[in-house]
Amino acid sequence: MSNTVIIKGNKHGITVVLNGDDSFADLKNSVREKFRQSAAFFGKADMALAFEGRFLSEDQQIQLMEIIQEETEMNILCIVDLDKDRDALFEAAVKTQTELQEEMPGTTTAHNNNAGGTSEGLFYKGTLRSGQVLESETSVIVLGDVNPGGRIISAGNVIVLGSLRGNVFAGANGDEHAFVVALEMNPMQIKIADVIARSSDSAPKKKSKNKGVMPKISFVEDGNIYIEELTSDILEDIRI
Amino acid sequence: MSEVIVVTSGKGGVGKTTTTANIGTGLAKLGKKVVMIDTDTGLRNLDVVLGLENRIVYNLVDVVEGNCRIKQALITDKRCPKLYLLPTAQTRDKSAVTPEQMIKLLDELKSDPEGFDYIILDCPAGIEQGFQNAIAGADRALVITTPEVSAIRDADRIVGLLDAHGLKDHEDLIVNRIRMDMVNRGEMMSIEDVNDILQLNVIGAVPDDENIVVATNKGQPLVGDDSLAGQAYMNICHRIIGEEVPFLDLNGKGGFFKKLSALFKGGK
Amino acid sequence: MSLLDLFKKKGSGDVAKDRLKLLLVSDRANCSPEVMEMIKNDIIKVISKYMVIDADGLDIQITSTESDTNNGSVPALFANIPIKDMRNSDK
Repeated sequence: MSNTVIIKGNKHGITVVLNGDDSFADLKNSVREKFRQSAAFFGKADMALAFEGRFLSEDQQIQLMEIIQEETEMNILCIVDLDKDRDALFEAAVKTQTELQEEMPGTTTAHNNNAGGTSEGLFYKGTLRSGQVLESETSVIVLGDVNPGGRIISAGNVIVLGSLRGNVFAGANGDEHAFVVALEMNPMQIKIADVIARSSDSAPKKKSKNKGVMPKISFVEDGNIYIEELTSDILEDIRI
Repeated sequence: MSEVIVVTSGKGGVGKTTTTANIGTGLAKLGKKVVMIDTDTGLRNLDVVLGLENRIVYNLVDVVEGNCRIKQALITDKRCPKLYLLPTAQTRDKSAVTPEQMIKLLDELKSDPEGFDYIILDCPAGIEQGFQNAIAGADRALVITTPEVSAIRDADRIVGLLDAHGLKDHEDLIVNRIRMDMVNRGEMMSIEDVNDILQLNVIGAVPDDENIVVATNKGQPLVGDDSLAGQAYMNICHRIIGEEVPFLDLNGKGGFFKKLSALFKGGK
Repeated sequence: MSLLDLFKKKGSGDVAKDRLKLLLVSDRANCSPEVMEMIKNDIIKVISKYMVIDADGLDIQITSTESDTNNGSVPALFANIPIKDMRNSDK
């Protein structure tokens, strides 16, 4: 029997590439064999799982997943439907699954697992209050304020049509081109990809009395976070 | 049909108990039948602020454990016969009561044929069991904060939890211990600054008033008297029962002089 | 009420101190009125074995008393029992 099963893996997940011709019973045996051999390689990791190469019904997918769990010490968190950017998908899936276990009722307001890349957006209307967390695979647009103690996590970009006074983490999957825009940029902490910046330790500026909004954009350049006024020139440079 | 109001804040020491005592007393002075319930089991204070600490025989824990009927635990004072207090235990803690028991108790109070107009719950600080108990059967929340960073932050968290509990749009804000002299100097956040973050309906602002300390010492809530705080609390009571009352000018020199100058200026 | 009394009028701070003393004492001793009542009745029973007492004039309280340790005062059971007569102890 030629290579019926090929395992492709990365830090967060494995793709099992299956030969399309064999019977399902043979396939199961091959999967069992293959994973038994490589169990030590995978160790006890939390992994996402995907299948490629042939169509599998949900039941078949579950059977294969169970075999894999039996033969190895991995913790299969979920089965991912392959479509687009695989690595980002895996990482996000693993991350959100583990973070789901730590939430207090009433704190998470929205949770979006649809991987649409940064060109799609999750709209949230209202003020994000202290203790609330908004997470999304897609970009996030908040029609309201983000209060100190509130948190946004997005694999994409974040736009706050209001005052951003809480924490924001854009480009959560490592996308350094992600940006954060706010009508009033006053975050406690901004993180884009791997770069963090926090608000200065000096006393907050007294709010200007004329209430004129000055939208600002925050982005990463040369490993640092910059915050600038949002002008049309900068808009030109934005990559989506 | 009784309205159940919970007075909460998140942060401790911002004035929940003082507000509960004054609002309860004020509403009773306006002719309403009011019962106040202390839910800070283990650290009870509502009884002391009302001057009723010597009258306690049974308490909230006795009621939920079935050791007595509700009526036996309610205390009233001849100074204010429409005002009732259900104190809590000092020797137990907040695990002695559950949210389900609170809801059952509130249902019993609401179905009382003699009818209470308002049931006011003094909520403890924090977001744990005590808080959960206090909000369990609430129709409406009065969120108390002072114009300070930590209090506002905690209040914001509380509003988030209240929203999740189903009280969104039934929350009103009271900004307590405002010092207008500091606000005018730019050393204290104004009511607008506070509400910029909390974004609630402001139902009242109470100035920092020495008379509150005196009132607590004596165990006599000052709502309705001439002090600025007394007037502010009474105005809040009016607003609770649905009347529109203009906001006090907190820059004023105090009750009597303000009324005098208002007379000359043709009134406010 | 003499003029002196007016000058010596208690400030609310003193009122608060007095209230607190009583409050803390009863908190610490953790004695509800019913328990006090039971203590009172038991004391009457026991003392009555040895003397005839005026049960109506009986005053029993938890109050505070001075102590050298414990920063000044400790809760104490105070009983004032008027004696009418000693019972003859028949030998």
